[in-house]
Amino acid sequence: MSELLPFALALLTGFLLVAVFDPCAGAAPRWAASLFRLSLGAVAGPGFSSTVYFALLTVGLARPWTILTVEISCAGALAVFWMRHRSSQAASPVRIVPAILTGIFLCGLVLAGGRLVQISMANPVGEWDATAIWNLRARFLTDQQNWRFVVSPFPATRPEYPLLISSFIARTWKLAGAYPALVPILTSLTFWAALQGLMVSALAMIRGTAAAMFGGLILLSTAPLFFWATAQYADIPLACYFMAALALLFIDARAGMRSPWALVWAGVCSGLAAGTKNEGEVFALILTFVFLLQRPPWRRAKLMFAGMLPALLPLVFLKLLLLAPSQLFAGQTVAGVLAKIGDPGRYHLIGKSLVDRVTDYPLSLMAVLTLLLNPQWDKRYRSAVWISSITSGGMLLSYLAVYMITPLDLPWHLSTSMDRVLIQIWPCLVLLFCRLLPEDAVFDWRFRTNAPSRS
Amino acid sequence: MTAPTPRLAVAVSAVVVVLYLSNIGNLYQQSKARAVFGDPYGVLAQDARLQGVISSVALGGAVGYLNEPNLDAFTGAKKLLGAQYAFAPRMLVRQEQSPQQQVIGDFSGPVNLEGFARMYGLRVVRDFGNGIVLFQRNGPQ
Repeated sequence: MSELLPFALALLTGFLLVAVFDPCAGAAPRWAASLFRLSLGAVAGPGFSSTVYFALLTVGLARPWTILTVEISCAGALAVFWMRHRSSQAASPVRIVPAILTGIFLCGLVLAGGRLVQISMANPVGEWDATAIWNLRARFLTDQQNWRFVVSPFPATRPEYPLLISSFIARTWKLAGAYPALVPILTSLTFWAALQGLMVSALAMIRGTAAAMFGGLILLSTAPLFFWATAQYADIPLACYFMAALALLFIDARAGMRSPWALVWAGVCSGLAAGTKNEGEVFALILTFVFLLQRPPWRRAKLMFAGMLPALLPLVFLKLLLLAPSQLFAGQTVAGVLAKIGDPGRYHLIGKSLVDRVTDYPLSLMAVLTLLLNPQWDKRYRSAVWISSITSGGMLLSYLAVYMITPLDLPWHLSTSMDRVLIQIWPCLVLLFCRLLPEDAVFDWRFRTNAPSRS
Repeated sequence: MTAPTPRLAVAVSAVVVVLYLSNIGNLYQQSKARAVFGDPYGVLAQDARLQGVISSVALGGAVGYLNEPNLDAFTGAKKLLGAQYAFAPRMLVRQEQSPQQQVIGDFSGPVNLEGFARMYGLRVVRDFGNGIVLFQRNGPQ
């Protein structure tokens, strides 16, 4: 069980980073702010540890004692700072219906989590790509002498894929002194749990507990998310970073100008998304483009970039210095790409696959919830809504565009990846949908429909 | 837009909870088979088979990999997948793709090792049993 301590150290460092540079200072309800810090810490910690490990690896210092020295020093300094500066907040009032929904959500979470642990233990090596790509590359990254095997084209490990998840697993294996299967299992399940936590806590802060629990129930009912949670792929970590980045834009909007950290963390999460998978690079590009299109004050743009740029460094190193070859454009000619774009059969195949896969999602639940939709025009959120909607829509279009020009056999490519790329943006869509649900007061018998809204 | 009435909100919540319970029940039922121990790609089995030869190959560098001819593509890919994972952080590459000095033979059934080695310009270094053989490439190092 020597792998548990390094794993816990990464999570602790992530939590302390979030607690010190608090993106939800003064946010209510208190439980949601705490859960958001915990969940963001659980995804930021692996990102931080992975970046540190990759940096040490590139300079030839990836040894257990150097990793521990850097990480324990950082965690120690952050802990001291946090203990001195932490503040307390008042508790929020409790309402009956949201409280019942919370109970049902928690029961479902425990039930689903228990089943996922059971499946993970029964299938410790995950699905095909976990062994062929993510964990194989992690094993290469544990070897200081030969870690550049990660960009070798021979083992078909997709050398152009970013290394955040593999580096984190490698770092934990290195500290454990072996390759226990528990490390990728814990990594996968942590990101799955963090995704639930981010969804529920972000919605509770920006809309209310009832909307938050509906968001949680939708995610727990999502069959593809449940299936891929134990696969040990990078899609759920990527979904976490996507959703955290967008949720932080809303939290930033709610906080107004009071706290700069939500925007910094939105930058960090989009940078970490780019470091997790190729789709994350597109996400970071679209998000940045739409953010700048809003013509934010330079001070705010600097905050976003201050978070994003450090998180992008490992990716820049991989792409520019290691020159990892890209599979998408390898062997493709302009004429060939244009012929694919002009082929109506490809549109039909892609459209059919999209429709087939979408039916795996809990649309019936959302259809019922549309009866409650209560969108309100709030100027504070205008920019966040605009950026989030365009980024999510842009991501979906980018996936379809990649299928259009893919050099791989299209039916095979669609059948092996469409459901996975959809789960990457699904939580963002659920967040945007549930944000339109009514606030908690509406579920209160004493509430009158003509009462003014709080938000 | 006016807010929904509390009556509607509670009724919709109840329907959503029922749908959710039905969904989660289905997920639980459908995942029953996956909760039973399985090694669908044979990764753990390959790891166990290859332990002997792994300790005979030095850390660092690449090692060639061959399996019997006429193996179907998926079975061959599964065997290579498990072998590559077991060998990492050493690199295991198909010998036909990138010839190496040390080569692992991974066979499912009996094979004429001497004939096989001659065919690929190799010599047998050690037979580990269970279809696993270490070869050395003939000719210049």
